[in-house]
Amino acid sequence: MNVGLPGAGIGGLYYLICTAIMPFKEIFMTLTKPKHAFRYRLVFSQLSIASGIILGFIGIYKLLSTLFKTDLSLHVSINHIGFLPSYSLPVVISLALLVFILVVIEVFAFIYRKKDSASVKK
Amino acid sequence: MVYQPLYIASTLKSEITSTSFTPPPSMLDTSPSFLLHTAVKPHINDQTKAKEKPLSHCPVTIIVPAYNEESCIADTINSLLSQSLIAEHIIVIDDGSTDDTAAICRSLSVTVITPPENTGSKAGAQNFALTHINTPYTLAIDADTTLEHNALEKLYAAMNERDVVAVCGFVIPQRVNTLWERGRYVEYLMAFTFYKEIQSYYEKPLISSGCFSLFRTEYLKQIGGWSLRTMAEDMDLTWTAYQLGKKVRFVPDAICYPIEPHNFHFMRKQLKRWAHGFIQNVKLHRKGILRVPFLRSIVTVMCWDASIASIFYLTVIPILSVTVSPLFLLGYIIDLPMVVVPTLVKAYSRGETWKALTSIPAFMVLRVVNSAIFLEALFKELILKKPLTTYEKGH
Repeated sequence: MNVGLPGAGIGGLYYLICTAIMPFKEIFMTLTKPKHAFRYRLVFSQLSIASGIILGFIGIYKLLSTLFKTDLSLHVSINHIGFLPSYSLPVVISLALLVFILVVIEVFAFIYRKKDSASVKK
Repeated sequence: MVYQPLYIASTLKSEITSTSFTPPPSMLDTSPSFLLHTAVKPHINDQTKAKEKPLSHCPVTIIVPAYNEESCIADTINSLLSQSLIAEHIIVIDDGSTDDTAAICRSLSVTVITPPENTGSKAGAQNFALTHINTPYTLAIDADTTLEHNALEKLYAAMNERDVVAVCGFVIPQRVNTLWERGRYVEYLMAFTFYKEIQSYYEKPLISSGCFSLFRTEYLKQIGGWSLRTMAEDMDLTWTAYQLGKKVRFVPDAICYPIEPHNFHFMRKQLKRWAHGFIQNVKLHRKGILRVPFLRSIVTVMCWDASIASIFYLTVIPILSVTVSPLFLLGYIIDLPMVVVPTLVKAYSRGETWKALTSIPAFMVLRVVNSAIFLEALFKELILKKPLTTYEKGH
């Protein structure tokens, strides 16, 4: 069951980040939990898909840029972030948005937990 | 057909119209871990798998809610009867069908129960059946859904921890012909290959799919069965489980094949129900899911994408493409790798690369429709305060 726009938006970016975290989480679990076996197959397959997606994005960007003979990245303020390649700006914006949204929900969760525990104490 | 909503299952009186199915003798040890080690044995080749494998039984009751399903119910029942792991009971809930659904089921020697009147929804029919279940596990499957021959076995093996209350499998449309079926085919390949696997890794699959899931019966009875308070009872059930500290598992090797809406009329009904169901669940569980790490993140991101990204997709891109530059139309295809890569990975492993490749344009159409319907649902639920309360079948 998918609602709205499956595949588009910051959701995709979120899942890519979750995939990037997987190997580190696996290493951590392998080191800290004696019975835990590193799930190579799962981690490798998801990392492969995520890598394919990222390569696909770079490929489609290059292809369309060549096809339309223009830089497809947002033209605004590229020069102000001199250390980044121009095509990374949309990614940076999406990432900032994602981080903002996740921080907001974590703050909400924290406030709710505080209220919850306060009401339990009463 | 339109289900009339909301009857309380516990007040309904049962009428068992056929009990010709004889439960097989139970095994001494039917725990999932025992069966995992005894029933799951290596086989010489796939073609002889079903014949060579010694059949084992499991303490599972399969319930199949059905309303006018004469065209597909036989396939579903046959698929259940040919499972590598035999369920103790198969119960079809004939929810007031006016066709030959019940007769077909009886001819296949499964139990048919009939509520006194149409229960109004799939959840209502399932709740009616719940009162007849006395096995530790319950498999809920749609009447239009067939299974891989080892699907039940795979799900059952995943019920290996006390806290696991639901297990779901991989969903692939049974028919992939029309534009809508093709769109759904890509959507499922993409979502179950990439998104659901990650959700599962972080132990929070978003939904234990309503069309095919195995449950701990005790849990179902503890929470009062399938809730009728939202249009997406599977999501409600899953999120309730997380809030109670329970676990839900996703088993990608357990594959089911439902019949998906084949035209716009039915697809619209289904998407509308899903969209309203999602919003209703977010409203209902908004405080509860704040307590559940990862779930709160995926729900928040999903809310953002379904609402804000949809507005952007349907209004901002067209406006910018007209007023600023037609290049903004590329926004519709710029995220193509997100769709194409996981879809083709799964399709390749199934030998369906060409089918998937040619279905991708259909998915792009489907998701535009999906986003428009979601915005409509959002407007009705939150602004007009007109929640969807009538369950309509998706085909």
